[in-house]
Amino acid sequence: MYQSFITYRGGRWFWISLVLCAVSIGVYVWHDLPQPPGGGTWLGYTLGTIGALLILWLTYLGRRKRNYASNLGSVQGWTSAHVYLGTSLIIIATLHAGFQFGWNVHTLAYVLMIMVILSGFFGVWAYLRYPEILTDNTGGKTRGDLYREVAEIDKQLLRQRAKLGPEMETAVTSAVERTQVGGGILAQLTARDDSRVMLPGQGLVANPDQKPILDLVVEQLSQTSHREQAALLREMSNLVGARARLLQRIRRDVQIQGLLRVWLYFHVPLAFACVAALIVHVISVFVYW
Amino acid sequence: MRVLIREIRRTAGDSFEHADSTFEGDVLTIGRATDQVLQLQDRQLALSHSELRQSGRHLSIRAQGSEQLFVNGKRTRAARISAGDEIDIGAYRITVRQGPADYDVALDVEVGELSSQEASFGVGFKQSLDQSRLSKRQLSWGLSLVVLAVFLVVPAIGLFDHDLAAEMRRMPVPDDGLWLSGPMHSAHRFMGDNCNACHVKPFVRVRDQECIACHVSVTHHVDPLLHQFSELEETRCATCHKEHKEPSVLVRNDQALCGDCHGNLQASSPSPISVDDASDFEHHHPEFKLSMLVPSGGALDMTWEIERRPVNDPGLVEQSNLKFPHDVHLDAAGIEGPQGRVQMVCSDCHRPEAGGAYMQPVTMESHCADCHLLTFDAAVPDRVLPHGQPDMIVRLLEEFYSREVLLGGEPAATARSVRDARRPGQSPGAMTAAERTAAISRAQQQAHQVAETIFERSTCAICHEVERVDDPDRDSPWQVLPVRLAHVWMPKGWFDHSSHRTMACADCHEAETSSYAQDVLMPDIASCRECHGGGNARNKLASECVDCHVFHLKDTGLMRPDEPAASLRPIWSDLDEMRGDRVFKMTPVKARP
Repeated sequence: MYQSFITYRGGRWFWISLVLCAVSIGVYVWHDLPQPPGGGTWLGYTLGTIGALLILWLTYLGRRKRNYASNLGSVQGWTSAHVYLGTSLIIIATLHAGFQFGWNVHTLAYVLMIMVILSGFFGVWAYLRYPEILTDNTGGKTRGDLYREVAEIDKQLLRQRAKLGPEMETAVTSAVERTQVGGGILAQLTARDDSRVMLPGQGLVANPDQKPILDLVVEQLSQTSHREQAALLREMSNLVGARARLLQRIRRDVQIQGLLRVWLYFHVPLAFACVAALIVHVISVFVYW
Repeated sequence: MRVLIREIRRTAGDSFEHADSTFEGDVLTIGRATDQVLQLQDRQLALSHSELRQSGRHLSIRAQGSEQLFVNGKRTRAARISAGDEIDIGAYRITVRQGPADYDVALDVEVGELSSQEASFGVGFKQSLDQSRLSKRQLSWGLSLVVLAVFLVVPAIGLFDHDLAAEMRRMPVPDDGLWLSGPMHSAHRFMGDNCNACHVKPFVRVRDQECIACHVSVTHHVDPLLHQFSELEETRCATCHKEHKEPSVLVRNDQALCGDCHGNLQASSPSPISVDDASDFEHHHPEFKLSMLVPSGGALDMTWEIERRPVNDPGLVEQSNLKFPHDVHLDAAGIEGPQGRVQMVCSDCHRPEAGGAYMQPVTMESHCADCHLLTFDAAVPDRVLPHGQPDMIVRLLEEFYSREVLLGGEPAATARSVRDARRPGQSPGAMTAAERTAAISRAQQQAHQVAETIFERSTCAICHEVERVDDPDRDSPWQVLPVRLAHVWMPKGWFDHSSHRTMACADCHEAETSSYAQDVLMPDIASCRECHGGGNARNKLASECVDCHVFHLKDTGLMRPDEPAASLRPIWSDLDEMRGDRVFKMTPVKARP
């Protein structure tokens, strides 16, 4: 049975993290703090060491998940631990800081860590939400399958274009050739359609969701009185419509795949910046001990 | 090798057309480039993809570089081929056939199911974030290096040159202020942002010398010659004094600060000590001890020593040599005074010192003399004796009565008998020598009678203990025992009357029911505990050790001195002296060899 990293082994890492947080809070509340609390007390050093080791280990997940040969636990188990122990860092680091914040490198490390964790939360949410949407969108097909379907339609469109006169031939050919999927980051994430089409009398214009070319085909259909021509145009309109729907699904697929990964462009660089700030934090604390 | 190449194209409808060409040579190159023998127009293919060769009677095909091809549906990099084999390269299918008579082989080259353009549809699109210009690796390196440079490398330059560091702090460049873990305490702000004033060596904790450099007069907690506690010697200034904290607090005030040692001091002390264990005001603190003034010696050579006694000691009496019933003076019905009955209150006599912590000394002149007139003769109620000079009293009385008998004037009631000895109508100047001698003798007699009365029965004796001393060298045989009142009863703790102004005096001092000056009216620890709890108290005023006690005690020697002082006194002695009680015997302490 499929088991999500959230519920991995009965939420083992959830309970481990919960105990870790509870113990930290308990000791923080219990111990007679030399006033005021901070990283310089014995508890501060302890929590700081735990937190720093956790951060380094959590960062190592990026390396571990590529290490297919490793026998040290499954990647799923690592991910589960990564999520829960990462979340527990909020508590551990805050207690380590003793709620002292300021405009300095120490708080920078803390803020970067919080940003990494928050972007990670988005990642967890994305991993829980998007795979299902992804499957629903493509109906279980791969993107290659969808492209092959588009290509099949294209083949038919191109085969029949010559029978429609030079203007329509140009329009259909340009619609096929100038179909665009994806593009820049924004285009991918917003599923923007940058397709274009050469329309008679209008030149090269935007062709969002193939609607202009479909309109042209339908318009031609309404004007023709030739029976064979009408049948051909009707088939063309079906093909263009089906093609537009396929392209929409492909763009949605690109969009969701992008959303599933875009948070990593924050999570990973911020994590490394956090490790850098952590190094500076530790060094600077002991430079001026 | 002679090869017939037949390129087959699909045309509109389902018909085909083909074009034949002949190749003669050793190597038949296949690829997308124009210099290839067999040019395949598929964008996915490499410029030079494969080579077909004849070796002996066999033909073999080998993919170039890292390219791959399919022979009869099986992926491979090289294969021996013969008639009937199908080779798939990209969108193209090459079918190997038996060549015509003068050919070694024939190749049917056909675009597969899709045209080359169709087959690669979708390939050219950027449809993954990895294809965008954003790179996680570059971003990670970039951000990390920026953080390291701005927050570590640039500020660290100042570590090698303090002048440069100071210059950097003035300029808008990253400096070591970024390493500040919290704001500096206001007491230290005068140093500006010169971190190196205290942080002298990198990676070395702030040393006590840097503190002592300014705080030159800070004293120790105990005399290291008397008591050797390794804990005290290992304790740094910064153990208790915390800088760069938020909120800004310079002195630790948690109970553990004291309790770590004082909680079990009796058992752990290497030498016997007189301090009881304490770690929490409410639950682990000895009964208050009072510094009782104990007189010794006789009336003429009386001295006081301080004796520490618990406040709940049943035999505790104050030995001030004063008679004073608080209850009479505080009687709700009032007390008889020269101007009639007055209702007295505590503050009539006990006035706070400047600052309000302790009370001013009570003095005869300021607080008693308004009622307690030192008159000695009912006939002359306006004549009073001076206070505090018992030796002069007898002489003053002799002088007074001698003047009365010799000069006359309106006679005082008591003096009348002295003067009546004169003959009627006779003026004093007319007295004979014998008469004058007799008159002065009577005046002296009278003076001694009055003196005996005031010293032993009335005026002086109302408040003072008076002893008769038979000493022929003295004018007066009476000696008023010197009075010593404690100014600070509990000199080892700090108490501030002004912070207890919301309370009544009687809440702590049971003066209204005290009939004797011997009564000690100091509250015990239980009275304080009605309001004050320990540092962790929840329903009482949480009171830490340092709320009442100080660490740096007087005359315990300097903290971290260059050379230990030769000899020092018990720790409490000078504390008492500082607060006004100067009469005690100090125990000289031998210095260690």
